[in-house]
Amino acid sequence: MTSRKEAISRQLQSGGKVIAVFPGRYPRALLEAHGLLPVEVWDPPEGTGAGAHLQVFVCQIAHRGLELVLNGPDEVSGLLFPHTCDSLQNLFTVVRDFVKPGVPCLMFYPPRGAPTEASRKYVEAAVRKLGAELGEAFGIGPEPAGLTAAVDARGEALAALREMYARRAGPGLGAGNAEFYDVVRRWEYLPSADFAREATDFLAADEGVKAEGGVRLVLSGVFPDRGLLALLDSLGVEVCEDDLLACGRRFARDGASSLGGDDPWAIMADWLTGLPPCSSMGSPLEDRGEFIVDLVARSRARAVLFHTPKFCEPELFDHPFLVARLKEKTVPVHVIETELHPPAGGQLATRLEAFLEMLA
Amino acid sequence: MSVNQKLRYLLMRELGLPAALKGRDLTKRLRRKPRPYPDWLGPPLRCNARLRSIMTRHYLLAKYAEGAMPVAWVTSGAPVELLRVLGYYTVYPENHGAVCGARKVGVAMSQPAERAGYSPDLCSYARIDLGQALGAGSPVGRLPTPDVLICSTNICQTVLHWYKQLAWLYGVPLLLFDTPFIAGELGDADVEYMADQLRALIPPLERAAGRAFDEKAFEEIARRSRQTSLLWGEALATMQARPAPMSIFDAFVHMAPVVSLRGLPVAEQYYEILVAELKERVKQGVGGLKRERFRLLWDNIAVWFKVADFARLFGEAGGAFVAATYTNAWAETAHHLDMSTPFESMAKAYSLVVLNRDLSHRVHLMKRIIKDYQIDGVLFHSTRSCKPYSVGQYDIQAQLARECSVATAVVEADTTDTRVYSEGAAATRLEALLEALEARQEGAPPLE
Repeated sequence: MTSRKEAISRQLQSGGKVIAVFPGRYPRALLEAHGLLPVEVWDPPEGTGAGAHLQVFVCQIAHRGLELVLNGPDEVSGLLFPHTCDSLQNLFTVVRDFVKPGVPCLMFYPPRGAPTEASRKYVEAAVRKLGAELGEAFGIGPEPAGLTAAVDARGEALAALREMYARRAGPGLGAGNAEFYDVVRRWEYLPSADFAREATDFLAADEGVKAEGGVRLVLSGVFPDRGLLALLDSLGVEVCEDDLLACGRRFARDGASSLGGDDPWAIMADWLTGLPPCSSMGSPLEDRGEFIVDLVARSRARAVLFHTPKFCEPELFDHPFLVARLKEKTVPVHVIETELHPPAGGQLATRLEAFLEMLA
Repeated sequence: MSVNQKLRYLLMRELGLPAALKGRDLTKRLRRKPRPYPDWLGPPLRCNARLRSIMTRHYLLAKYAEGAMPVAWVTSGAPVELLRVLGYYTVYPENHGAVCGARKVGVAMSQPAERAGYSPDLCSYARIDLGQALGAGSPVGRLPTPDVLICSTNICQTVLHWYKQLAWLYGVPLLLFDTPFIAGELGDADVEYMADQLRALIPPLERAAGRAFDEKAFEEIARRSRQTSLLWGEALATMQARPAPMSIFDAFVHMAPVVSLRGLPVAEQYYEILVAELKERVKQGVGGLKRERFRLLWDNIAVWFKVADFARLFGEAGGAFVAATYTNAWAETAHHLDMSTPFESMAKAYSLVVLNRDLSHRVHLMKRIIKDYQIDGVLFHSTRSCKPYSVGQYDIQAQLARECSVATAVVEADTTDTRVYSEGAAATRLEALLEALEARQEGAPPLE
């Protein structure tokens, strides 16, 4: 099982480069084709420098991401900011225009709203534009030779991820929540081919269904917070599906094949267009509600737990509708809003215990 | 649309409201107790009364628009020209939020939304609007129910999240105009994407309006819209004069027609009159303040519930706010509108606005304003409600202080939510700014 540090070290030793990628949707295969290892930045350690640049009402994801930049890790050769929300939009320009970290800072804009013909066309243009910028920044040219191979590798990684989720939602896995998401999150830093191999190994090694009796939940939010996962494990809760921006919202459950045929650019554009609905993309509420209801049904979950980092506007706006829709479907719902990595005990534990008692 | 309601709307517009407004003005005049006029303020603008009448009429007419004509709720950066062609009555929830903030009812209006589960950390304009949709009484009366919602992301992504809620609560279609963020130069693919979306807006708007899009009318409306924005820019440019003929606090109010009535004859006519009056004041040396000692630039939306207090605090010290990045936003890109390529040029005009561009652009713009308006100090309003405007202000502040030798301060507040405003903390920052300005003005004449 490869750690983030090991993956980065391996990449650098092989003469490759590392690009730090801030949260959101982006064409991972394109970066890999340019010889870059995308390492995602969701929850790096806290620091004190970001407060000089960002207000207190900006989320911790942006604050911590900026801390990482300010600490100037030598191993990073570039930064990519997918346009995910207003805070990350401005964080990009703060970093590029004021912090000036001395490496290329790029932005990728995925179109908003329900997919349309115009947005499908635009997303392909945006992917090509990013390709040109990467080519210019890293000297490989806009059409890297390894693009098809990178797209294929991503396809294999996606298949492995889909299998992990299918097993989790279906018969179940022996692994606990923390262990499961530890594997899922390795794709934040492993090359796609390596992730596919580690995910397959994980599934092969898993001992199967745990003892019956645990409550099955769908977890919705931004990313699987390790503090929360530990707490859920201690309470005997199994997260059997998720609607997390960093995890379950990154692949279509049905595995719809690409409409793009053999054209790798079209395949990447189709992947991005065909992703599950997401608050950060301004997806229609109805679509998002339907997606979560479907996750509940297909995973036989008892309830949905919404966990949102404080100040995450896209998620906070969607909650009232989603709660109402799930209640209409008689699915119990619980909403929690916390700082990153809340302590496993205390008030949060009490609230979750009360919710679980209600389900019993 | 019902014929009866249409008739009622026309009757009210042409006869009922003008008579009611005249009666109201008369009553007000008779009842008005003489109030001391602040001795630091210059003479009021003659246009104030005209503006009040236009905006009151706009809000009162809203009550009769429902059922008489298609009603669209739009964001302040929406391509409203398309709607004017099809006879839509447009409602600007952001403008309504500002009115509620200025009347200090923002928190009360937000309560139903917060009770319904909308976090108090969300944009306060959105909470006011959602509160209104969930039953809060507005100081301007009930807004007409929308038939359609038009949202443009050129000012923020928040509006999209907010309008999705409105679409749910009112059960009406939401039409999106997505404007990619410009992190450098606007590309051909960006323009094509936006122009395609503008063209695609027309059929659903035609369906909701029950009439066909008239290209000839579109040309005229776009011309008028362009001219209105240019006139607004001209009005703002008069503040380059010393003394500035009005203050930015006046401009916060006088921008209402360019935001809410852009594309209508009334807005164009209004700014022709305002520009003439401002030019006359410049010629006569009449200022917004009686004694202008230093000149300031405002960054961000107003703290609506504190406008009067800020105006007094600075006005008494001879501090004239003569420019704002906010008011400038409705003037800066209108010149792109070109009827030989209507959709592509609209795409440019609507996407090149300050909030849809990187912070280097904002710094460049502010440096130009500092030079053109001879600015001594910059006050940044860091507002919780607007992240695209606020995130990055600390760095902009540092750069301007370093490179333009202006005094600067950041005040943490909100557009309408009084709960997040700390009087003490703000006072400390504002006093420090005034002291820094005083120190720069040692050679200037003292206040009487």
